[in-house]
Amino acid sequence: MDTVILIDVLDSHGKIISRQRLPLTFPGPQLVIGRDVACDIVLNDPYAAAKHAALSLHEDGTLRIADLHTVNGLILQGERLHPVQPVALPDGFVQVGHSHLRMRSAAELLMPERQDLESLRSRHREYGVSLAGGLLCAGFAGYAAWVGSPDNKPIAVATNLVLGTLVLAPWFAFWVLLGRAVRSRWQWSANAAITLGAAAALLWLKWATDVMVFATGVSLVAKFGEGLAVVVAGVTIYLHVRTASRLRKQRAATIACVIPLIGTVSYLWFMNQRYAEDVNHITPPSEIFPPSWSQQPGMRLDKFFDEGLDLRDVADQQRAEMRLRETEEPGEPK
Amino acid sequence: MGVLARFLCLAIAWTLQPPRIAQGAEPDIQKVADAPASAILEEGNSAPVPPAAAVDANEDLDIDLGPVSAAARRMLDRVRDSVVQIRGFYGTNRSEAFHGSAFAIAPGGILLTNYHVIARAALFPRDYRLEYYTDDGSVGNVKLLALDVAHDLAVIRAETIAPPALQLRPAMPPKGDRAYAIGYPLNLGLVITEGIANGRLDNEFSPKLHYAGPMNPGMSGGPALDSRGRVYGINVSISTRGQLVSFLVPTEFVAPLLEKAASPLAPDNTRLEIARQLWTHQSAVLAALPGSFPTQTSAGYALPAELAPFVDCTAAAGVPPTRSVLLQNVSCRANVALSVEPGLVTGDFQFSHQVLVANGLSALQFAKQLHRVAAAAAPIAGSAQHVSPFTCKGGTVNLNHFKSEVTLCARSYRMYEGLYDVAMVVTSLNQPQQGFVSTMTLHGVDYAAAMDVSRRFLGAMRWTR
Repeated sequence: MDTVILIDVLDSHGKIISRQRLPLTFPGPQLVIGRDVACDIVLNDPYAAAKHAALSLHEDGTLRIADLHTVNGLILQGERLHPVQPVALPDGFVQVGHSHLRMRSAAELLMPERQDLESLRSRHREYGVSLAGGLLCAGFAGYAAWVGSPDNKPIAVATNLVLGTLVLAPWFAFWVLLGRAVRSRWQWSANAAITLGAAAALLWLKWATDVMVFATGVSLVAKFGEGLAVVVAGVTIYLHVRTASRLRKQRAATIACVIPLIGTVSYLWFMNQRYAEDVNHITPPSEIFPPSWSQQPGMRLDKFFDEGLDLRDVADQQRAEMRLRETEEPGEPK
Repeated sequence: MGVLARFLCLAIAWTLQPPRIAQGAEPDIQKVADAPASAILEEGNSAPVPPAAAVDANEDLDIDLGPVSAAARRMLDRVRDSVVQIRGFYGTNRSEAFHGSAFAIAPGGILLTNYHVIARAALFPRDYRLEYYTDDGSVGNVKLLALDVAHDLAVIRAETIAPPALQLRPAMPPKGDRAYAIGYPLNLGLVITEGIANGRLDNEFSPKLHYAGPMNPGMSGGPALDSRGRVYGINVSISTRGQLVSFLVPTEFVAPLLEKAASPLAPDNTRLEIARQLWTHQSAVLAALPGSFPTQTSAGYALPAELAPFVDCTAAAGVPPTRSVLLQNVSCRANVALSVEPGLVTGDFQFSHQVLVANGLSALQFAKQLHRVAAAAAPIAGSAQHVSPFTCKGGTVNLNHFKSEVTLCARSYRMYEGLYDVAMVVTSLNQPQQGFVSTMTLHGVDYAAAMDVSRRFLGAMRWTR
């Protein structure tokens, strides 16, 4: 029985380093994989043995592989094995040293050609999201100028747009360049859709949160809004990572969780450090909207001051902490 | 009456800035060096000698300059031995850290000076030491006996001299009487200046006398004399807003302080004593406020103003955040601040109202401008050396016929237990086209008393339409 096999050697990102098309017969000689130049498939991999594995054709036409008594063995479906007798390649993949090999024989059944509708549809969706995100961002810039600078709206709009561009452009450019470097694709529309969509979501989410805090007077709403913003940031990073790299979903999700988490913790730490020594910092008032937007009943004066009594205890506690630090740090105020 | 400027000056003096006030304990050598030498000598050490050209010009005029200078000279000769310079030194340094003046008030080397002259030595007795310097060159150590922060006085004792005590004048001289101020300004030696007694300042919580005559940094703690050489005040400060506007502490607070000096203050108890005096001061200040705060109405809001005679208020058009808003600014300050130590002025309170009226803005636009004013309201300043960070609480509160957003903040004093700074920001939330942002800060107050005042402050606010 004769067949032809196609062997791709991949790097750790799944990119093809080399591709060979070799004949294989049953019964017949095996194909030897290793670093030795005499091998049929030569790997430039220090973790591979000179003669590492032997590839053969089984009588049923499937591919089999055997370990040639190496230290590192073979990794099949995530499991490290030392099969002296030839074993089947269930998914066509094997790791030899640090090299990934993908093999396909002529006997393998091929799926019929897939109709390429998704690509076009996806592109249209990216354009749509980009346009919507851009319009929402521009709308917010216009709204902020109209509300905040009624004397000079055109200049304020232009300033907001320029500032917004200065913030978003480096972010957008980073992901586009990463995609070009890793996947050899520019992916302008996909990254634009993610960047503009996320920016619009964050801007209007902040506005909606402010409105809700003003309307309800519930400070937890602000915390909820901040949490939601972190989630949006995570989703944004996930989509960018998946678009610009070949990382699998699980790894991309991990990165998308870790980066916002680190960012949030760093921000909280920085603000805490900043205000720990700023004895004049006063909690800024929440955003104000027209009185008719407020649905909160408001509390009685007496109740407000009854609750305000707690401030003394906190102030005393802070005083005690400062005195404690003072005794621990010689050279502080006497 | 220039009080704001005086407090500003106090703060400047504490931080070794160029001396602009009489009580400035530190000399400004650069400033002195910049002045023409002849001007310094004429001001400091000798009688004014008009230049030759001026004499010629006035030859026909009937002006007798002689007796004035002669009287000052006689006065200086008479009290010369009783007035000393006080210098403070940091650690073992021989270069001075600050200086001021003092004068003998009782036998046995008992001297009277300003509290702010010796404040650093009182608060940091292990770091600073005090010495006296007489006009004839003798030097010796000085010990603190008693202090009165509220009236800026201190009794000290010179350890090796017993200068003749000056006599106190029991009553204030009438306005227009000739008066003299004596001290050691700018390290230029003993100096006398001639001026006019101008009576007691109106509307001061802590009484002060107005002396219309020159006074310079380093003269703090020196005596102000009437025409018979009796002490009727103690040099303390000047106004930077006018010329020859100087202030004295009246002598009525000297006798109680001398009684306290009979039991000298232990150095380790100084802060406790100062904390006690600060507490007494704030208690007296807050007790002097009316039970129901008077108000004045602006854009439909009745807001507290002119709470007491010692509270100075100004009202003027403010700078609005946008041309489409009319802004009125009412700013009030109680002239009761005490300089406790460098960088720490406390014991007073202040408040302000910024009333906004929209001029062609929508409700949403106006709300944004109101928020902008509220966010920019920075009601208080302080140093981490003296106070802890603020802790705040905010909420929507129903006041008289209108809703408002109130932020209440408090922080404690690190070295003076039981005293707090309390700050409050109030923003009205009831009208789409008009509103106000008020701030109030109380410095160095008892917490319960501060809550009571804050409650009355908010309780006085009212929507009148």
